Amino acid sequence: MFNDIIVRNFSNPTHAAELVQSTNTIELGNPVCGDRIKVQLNIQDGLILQAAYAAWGCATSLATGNVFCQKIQGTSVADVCNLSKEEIDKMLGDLEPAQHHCLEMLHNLFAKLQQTFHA
Amino acid sequence: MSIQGYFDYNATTPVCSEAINAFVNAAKAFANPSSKYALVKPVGAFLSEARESLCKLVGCATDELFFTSGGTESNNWALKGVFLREFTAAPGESAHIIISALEHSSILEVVRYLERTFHCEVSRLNPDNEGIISAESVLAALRPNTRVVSIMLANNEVGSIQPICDISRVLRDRNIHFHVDGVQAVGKIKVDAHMLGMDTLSFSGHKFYGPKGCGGLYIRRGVTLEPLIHGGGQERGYRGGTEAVAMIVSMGAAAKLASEQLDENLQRFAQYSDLLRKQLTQKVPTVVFNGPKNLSMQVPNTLSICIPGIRAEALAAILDNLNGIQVSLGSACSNNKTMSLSHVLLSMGLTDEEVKSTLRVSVGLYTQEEDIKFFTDAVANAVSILNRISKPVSEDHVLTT
Repeated sequence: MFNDIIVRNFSNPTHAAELVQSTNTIELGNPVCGDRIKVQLNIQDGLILQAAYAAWGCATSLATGNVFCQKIQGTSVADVCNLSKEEIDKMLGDLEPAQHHCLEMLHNLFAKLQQTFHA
Repeated sequence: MSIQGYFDYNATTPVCSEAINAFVNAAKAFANPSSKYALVKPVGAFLSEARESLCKLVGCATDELFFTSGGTESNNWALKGVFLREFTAAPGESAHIIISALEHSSILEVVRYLERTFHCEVSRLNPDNEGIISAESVLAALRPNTRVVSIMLANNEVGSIQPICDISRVLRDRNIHFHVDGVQAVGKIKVDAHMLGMDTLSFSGHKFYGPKGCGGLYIRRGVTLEPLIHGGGQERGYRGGTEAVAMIVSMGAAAKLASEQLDENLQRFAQYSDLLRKQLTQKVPTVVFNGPKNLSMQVPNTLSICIPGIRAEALAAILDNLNGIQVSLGSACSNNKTMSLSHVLLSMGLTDEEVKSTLRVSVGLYTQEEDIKFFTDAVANAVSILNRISKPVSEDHVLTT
């Protein structure tokens, strides 16, 4: 069963798109279940102007990409980097054990964004 | 609960009104069937009537049919019962068991248990790419110490019907017990245990509009099995435990209905299968159907659908949450470390990616023709949503800076 956050985000993914102009790309996958998420970003002067994603995987991983983009679009990279583990943990709502790998993917997306910024 | 979106009749079926009414009626007759006073008479009559209805559905005599708690118990009883019989007769001998790789877990796990605990030798036969086990492959796998062969009659995931008659012929006169898991076949296709020639055949009431927790085992006259459940001598001493009278009577009512409507349902489900194939091919041109190409070798209510490039788990989630449609999957995330992939589809030679893109559709008694269009429209819409997420190339979805 899926919680409302997951249902809303996989059934109406507002950020499922491709950016014509992007400054950064984050990609990751789960080698076990094959889930893949690719996020394109348009970052100007430390502000994430646009975030869009493409994904292939289970419904929760599709929702994860959208939740991530929704959270970071319009936010400064510095603010995103300051998000706590607890704040990220809450973003996908209550998950069943079989969905927990998506929370791991969400944390990895934030970690990759931080790496991108600090690189 | 809405029935319109229910496309998972192989998982379970709604209990038909005949079975519900029979349950309520029989539940009032509370006497213990093993008691000896007159109060038991109507209970005995109820059980006899139910047994006769089930025998008609299975194609056997009343002394060959035993009530159980369902398909899992029946399969456990058949395999362990034969093994214990053989083990008692020849305790030092290592027995060889042949099963198909298509079997349900209630066969696979029992055999794994026998293998682990009693060091049985086990051969697991892979089907061909249409999900069929040939009699020739069974013949080739036989060993001098083969004691049991267990092959399902109809597969739950792809609906392939196995050549049970041919396999029976191969095993006849070889002193090898032939068990058939008939759970996905009884009530859905014509089954005649005598004609098919197996030694034991299991079935489950909830697969043909009866209640859950009730089933049975056909044991061919002359075949002996050790009991699985010892107790008070019920079921002619073969299965202990006070009979679940109301459940059995309810299952009997469902069996009667299934027998009466079988021809009509077979025809109707074949039409639905044809409609599903045509509409899906039209609306989702990349769709591939797993299973037998010869449709007479497939249970007509079952369709295994693969949409390459689409993750079926996500497709099913959209169908459920947006359209109220229920289907089954060939794969699922289990946890962070594992992914469970259908052993049936893998044994047929499908790749991991194909298994991940496969879902099972099964129609039934309450499916209407208009539901097929509702379903195929919903699948097409869900596929377009998923394509938008995985292939965001349409002009409508391209953001510009």
